[in-house]
Amino acid sequence: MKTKNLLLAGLLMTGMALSFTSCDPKKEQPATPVITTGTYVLNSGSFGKNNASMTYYDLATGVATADIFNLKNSKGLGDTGQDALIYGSKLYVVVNNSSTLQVMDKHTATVSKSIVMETSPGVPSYPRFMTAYNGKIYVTQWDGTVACVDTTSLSVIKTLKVGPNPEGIAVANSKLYVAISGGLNKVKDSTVAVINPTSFTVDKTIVVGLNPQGLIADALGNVFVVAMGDYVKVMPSILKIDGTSGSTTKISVTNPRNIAVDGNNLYVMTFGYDANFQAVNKKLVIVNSQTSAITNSNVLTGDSILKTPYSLDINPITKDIYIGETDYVTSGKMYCYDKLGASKFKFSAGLNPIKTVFVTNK
Amino acid sequence: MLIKFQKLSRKKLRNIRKNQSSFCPCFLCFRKLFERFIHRQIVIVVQKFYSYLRHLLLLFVGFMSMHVMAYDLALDSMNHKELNEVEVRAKTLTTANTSLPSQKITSLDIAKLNVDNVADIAKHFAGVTVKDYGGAGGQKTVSFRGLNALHTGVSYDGVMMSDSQSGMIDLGKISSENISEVSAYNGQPNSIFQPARMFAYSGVIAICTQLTGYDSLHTIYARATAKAGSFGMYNGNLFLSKHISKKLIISLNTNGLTAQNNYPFSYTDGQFTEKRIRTNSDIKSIRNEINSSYHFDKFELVNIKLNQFYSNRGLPGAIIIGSPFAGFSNERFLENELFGQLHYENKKSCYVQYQFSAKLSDNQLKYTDQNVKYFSIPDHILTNFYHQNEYYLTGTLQLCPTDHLIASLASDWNYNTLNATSNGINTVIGSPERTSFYENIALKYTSQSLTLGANLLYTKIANKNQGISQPDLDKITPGATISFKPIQDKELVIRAFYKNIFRVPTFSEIYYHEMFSSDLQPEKTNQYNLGVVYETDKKHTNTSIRVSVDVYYNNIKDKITIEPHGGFSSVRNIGEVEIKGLDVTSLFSHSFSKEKQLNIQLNYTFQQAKNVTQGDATYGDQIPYTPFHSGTATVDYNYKNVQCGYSAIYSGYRYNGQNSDYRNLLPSFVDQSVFVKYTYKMLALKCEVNNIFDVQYQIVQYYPMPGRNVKAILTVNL
Repeated sequence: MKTKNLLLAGLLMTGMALSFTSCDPKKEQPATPVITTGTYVLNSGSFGKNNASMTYYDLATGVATADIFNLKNSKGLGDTGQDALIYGSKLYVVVNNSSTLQVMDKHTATVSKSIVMETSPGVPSYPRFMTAYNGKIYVTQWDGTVACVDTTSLSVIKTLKVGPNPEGIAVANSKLYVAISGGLNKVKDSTVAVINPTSFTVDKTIVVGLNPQGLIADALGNVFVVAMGDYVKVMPSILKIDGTSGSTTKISVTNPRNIAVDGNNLYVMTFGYDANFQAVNKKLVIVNSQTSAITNSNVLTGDSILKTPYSLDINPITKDIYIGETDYVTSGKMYCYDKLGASKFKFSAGLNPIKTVFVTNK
Repeated sequence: MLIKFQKLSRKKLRNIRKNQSSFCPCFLCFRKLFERFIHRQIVIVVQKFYSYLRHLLLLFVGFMSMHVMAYDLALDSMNHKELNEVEVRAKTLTTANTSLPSQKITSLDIAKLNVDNVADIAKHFAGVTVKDYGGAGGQKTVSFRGLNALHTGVSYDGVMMSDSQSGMIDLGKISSENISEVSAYNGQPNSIFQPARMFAYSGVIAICTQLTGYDSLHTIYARATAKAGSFGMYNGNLFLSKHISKKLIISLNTNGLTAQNNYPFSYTDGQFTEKRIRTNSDIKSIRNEINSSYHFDKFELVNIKLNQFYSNRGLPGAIIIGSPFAGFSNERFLENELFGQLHYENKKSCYVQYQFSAKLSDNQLKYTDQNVKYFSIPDHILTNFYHQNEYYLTGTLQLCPTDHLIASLASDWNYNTLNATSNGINTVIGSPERTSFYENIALKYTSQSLTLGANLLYTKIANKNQGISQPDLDKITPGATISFKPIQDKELVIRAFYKNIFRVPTFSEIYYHEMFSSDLQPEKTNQYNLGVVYETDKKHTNTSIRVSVDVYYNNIKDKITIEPHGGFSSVRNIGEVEIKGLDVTSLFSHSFSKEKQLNIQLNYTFQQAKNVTQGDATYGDQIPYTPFHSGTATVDYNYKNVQCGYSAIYSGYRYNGQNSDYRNLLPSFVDQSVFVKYTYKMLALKCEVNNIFDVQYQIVQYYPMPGRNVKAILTVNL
């Protein structure tokens, strides 16, 4: 009797240890698409969770494939996707917390080189945003530098100290313009650094507004920068650094968040927060980049964006508007509008879709 | 018997002393005499001190509240019944102690587990989830039945521990050495002779330390433990206790720990398996505790505790995939804590018992992070200081007017302050202060087959911080328990409880976020439990079985939710959670002979904890870090002076994010450990092999747990 009890208990115990391990839900493997003409959406993921990803949306079939990077490379992209850029035949992706610059073939999305971005050997430099100029990729890094990456050797050839926590970077008038946010300072920074790419030195700094982050340039050399303020007392504003005079003027758009430019059109995504801290009054304002006049106070006539707008990109060929949304928890949708603001299509991207780049068939 | 022995030895001593004083005037003997004189003087001073203390405490009674005073006066006019009656009455009623599900792990059980700290112990409770960041230095917090760790109260020798900033107590900081028992109470303890704050949580982990040696015949007792383990782990513990006099015991406990924790781990990245070594996971810590216990008599005592803790540890980062910097972190915690506790209890009368406690604590935490991203800070070292103080007073009065009825009234007053400074971006805004007042009234009716209990807790909390107004909190919350023994001579008890309670927002929740609701409400919980306990009669057989099965339904309303907004964050009350679960505990013990025993303990928990926030994107999903299935198994076998054991901790799959998405999936694991212990006279040697199958798992995603490791523990009892 007693031995029976003992045996039973023993069996129960080993049974428990062994049986529970194999009932975890399994992930189904989606089909790997061939890349033709479409868009890559870089999904930032959330910090520390290694869930940065890329979604490929095929314009011909209308199929969105999640985790295209994982499918093509059999591994994850890393932690906190930050910026993506197509230059030449390559697709460059900055992964901030992994401190890498992933260089891929734009038609296959397979990694040709994963460049480790570091301040000194073994110390990550936390890359943020990038721009391409004269065969080089310039990457801003949280360690206060801009790194110059050679696109042939695919390696960092030089770095330049610019100021605390540089963010947005763009090329105008043969110069690099870098937003110096000082975002991790006790008192945030308020400047834009102007760099001579040939000598790779800082020419001058221009005072713009508290906590400059997003920075772009139009074809005529005008630079636009969003000073995010402190989110509580100093509200975000948008400033223009004139391409010819170099003077700084404020553009009268309230609550600017993301900016994009196409030709003479400066697109400004604006929204505020209600009492429950939910995004409201989501509008896409168009400003004439030459005159700074608002030409359209809200171009979006199609589907309204459900969550918080997170990214804004313009297809340079079709002029279509791509807006990504987020709730910081679940996958966001991408909304595509034509240049007149009418809805074209929607598709599901990943968590925190931060950047859309466009690829065309070979 | 004990007293006789002491009297005898004292007589002998007196004789020896007489002889020495008259016959031997040498220096050595003079010194001894002098020492004895000093010793006697100390005893007199101490006795005087404690008697003053008692008077002071009685004065404090008056200050505490008027009702306590009134009853104290009444006490004098009452007849003091025979004291033993209290004990006898308490022992006959098992139903009285099982209304609320409680689990206990005593020092004897701890010796049969492979544990280093209280969090490791808590992993063996049913319905308790431990969030463990891994290694000796990784934060370990405990939650009950799907209610997060902020709803868990932790008491240390009867006094609640506080962290007004984070709201959570890291149980990894408390060593398993020198613990006399750890209890897990769903709701609250079954005894109502408790401070009001004991009733103010959804669940309580109660830690009781060992105050005296096992054998009070010794006038001095010492126990030294030395532990050495894999990854540079060395731990020493020294416990000394001395009976200064018949009434006064002083004990000292020192625990020092150093560990490198540079354990190897592997993780999968897509189709690849990467092997790394954990870095920045080292720890150095020391805890010193002095206890003094003065017994006026068997039923009246004063305890004084002084506890000092220092730790310097690295905070290992999350594994970062796709980079060579996996787990790169320079974050460190430097902690200095000092607290004192005073406890007085008087159970002389079986009609009226009362107790008082006071606590003063000072906690200083320095967080540093050397990172190139802190560009403008010298040497790029971000330094945040958090300085917390706590002042706490409590008084409990228990009345037992009849054999069947007990009433208790408890008043607690608590004052917390936090001061945070940083050389980088702001941490906590201002210097928040919080004054809390708790008043609890509890009633308990007990008969042979039925126990009914109810309590009402009144809470008043006021926050103060430079110009930031938060409304005062004023709330009354109820609780009710019942247990019933349907068959007269069978130890079968049916039990149920209901409890409505809340947790207030922490200082971090109110004052850290750029945007906060000016009317941040507490997070409320409701708990419903129905269960059955069965125990075999131990007297007649050498096999005993104890089984408990409980089903429960919990919900959380007005969840305090932090929402990021890219650059800043906000906090508000939004969200509801519904938890349905089952806890099963079973204990099987068998004595083959006096020298051969076997114990088997199996626990199982099922939890379905759903987000039921209307309109939420993750509606219906399991809340993070809550496995559906989890369980523990421990087996130990004793033969003469050899003891061996096996323990397993199982956790089913769970999600690390709010949405039940495969990206957030954390796979199930079983961590199995074994030990062999050999006792020879006053020496004991224990050898442990932990995680014998070298299972690579994570409790918190991307914070790997150690694989197979060994430990040797040598204990000397003097």
